[in-house]
Amino acid sequence: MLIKLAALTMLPMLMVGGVVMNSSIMLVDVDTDDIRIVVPVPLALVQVVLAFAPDEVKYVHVPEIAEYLPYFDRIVEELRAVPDALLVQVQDHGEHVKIFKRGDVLRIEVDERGDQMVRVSVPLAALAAMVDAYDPDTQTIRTSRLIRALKAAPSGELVHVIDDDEEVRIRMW
Amino acid sequence: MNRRLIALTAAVIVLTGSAAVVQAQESSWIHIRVDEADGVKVNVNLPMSLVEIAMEVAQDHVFGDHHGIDIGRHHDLELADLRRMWEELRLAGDAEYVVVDDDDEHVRIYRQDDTVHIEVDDNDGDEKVRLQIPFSVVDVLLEGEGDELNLAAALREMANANDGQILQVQDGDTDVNIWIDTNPQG
Repeated sequence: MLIKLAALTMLPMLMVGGVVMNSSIMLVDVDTDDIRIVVPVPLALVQVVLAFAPDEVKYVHVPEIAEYLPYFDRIVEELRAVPDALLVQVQDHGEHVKIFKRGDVLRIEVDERGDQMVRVSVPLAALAAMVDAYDPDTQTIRTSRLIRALKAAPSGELVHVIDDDEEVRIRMW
Repeated sequence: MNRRLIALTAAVIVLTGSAAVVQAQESSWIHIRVDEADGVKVNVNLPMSLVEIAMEVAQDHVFGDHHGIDIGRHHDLELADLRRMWEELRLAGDAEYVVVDDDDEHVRIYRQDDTVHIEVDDNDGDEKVRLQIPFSVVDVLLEGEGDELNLAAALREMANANDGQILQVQDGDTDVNIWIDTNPQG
């Protein structure tokens, strides 16, 4: 009886563990002068939690996207088709902005005078999945599909921001 | 056997040619370089296919429910007059259209090898503008209906027709260069 009870108790934990082990993990790393927080976020677990979230969280109303959606899809396709290239570079005294395509990733780099820096990698597959996550009829984004889009992102750094004394990194595992 | 071989060779040539044309259209890039004397530098390299989409967005959401840019509502200039003028210019062949010499600057507009050249030079030698527009680009630009300029089609034509310099401006402090070629980095 005790063995059965133990097995029953372990089952949810094993299930959660299984989900986590098979899941892409987003690592959020926030480092300030005072504290450093590192949070591993298993995306499969987020999807499970989302199922119990209120509708405002599950469906985010963004009507502005609707009219640009058809173009967005084509832009992603065109970006996939073109070779790797530096698309935009602006040097304005202490500021430097670069947008370039490398493989299937669109990379944005901003350096400002002093200690401010932004690096964002946008996987084109994730962009395409974001388009799929949008429902033009209800003009909402399904957050569960956004999470799926994130799962499509390759391993590596997605976001790296340094703003004076704070540093934020978001990486995919 | 010979007929088959000739047909096969012809098919290969046609297919290869078509592929090359498609490839050439797909791989055109527009480059914009801005260099300012105070150190500001702008470097933009965009595939023409993306520029076309941007133009469609602009036409649909900035200029309203038109396929082109309506110039008739905002200016006294009738596009029909412009089209007639353009037809006259087409018939004239290579020629010098406009030459203006005044105290400040020298302006020259002329056609050479199916390209319209606009050149402006100030007399101090500080400012220089060179604009080159292929004839076929203006043709399709004026193809729009009524008082509309068909800018998207003009861009497509520019990608096909112009493999080279479009605009060059040297204005003392600022240099601007716009050109199209097949090299992603210009």
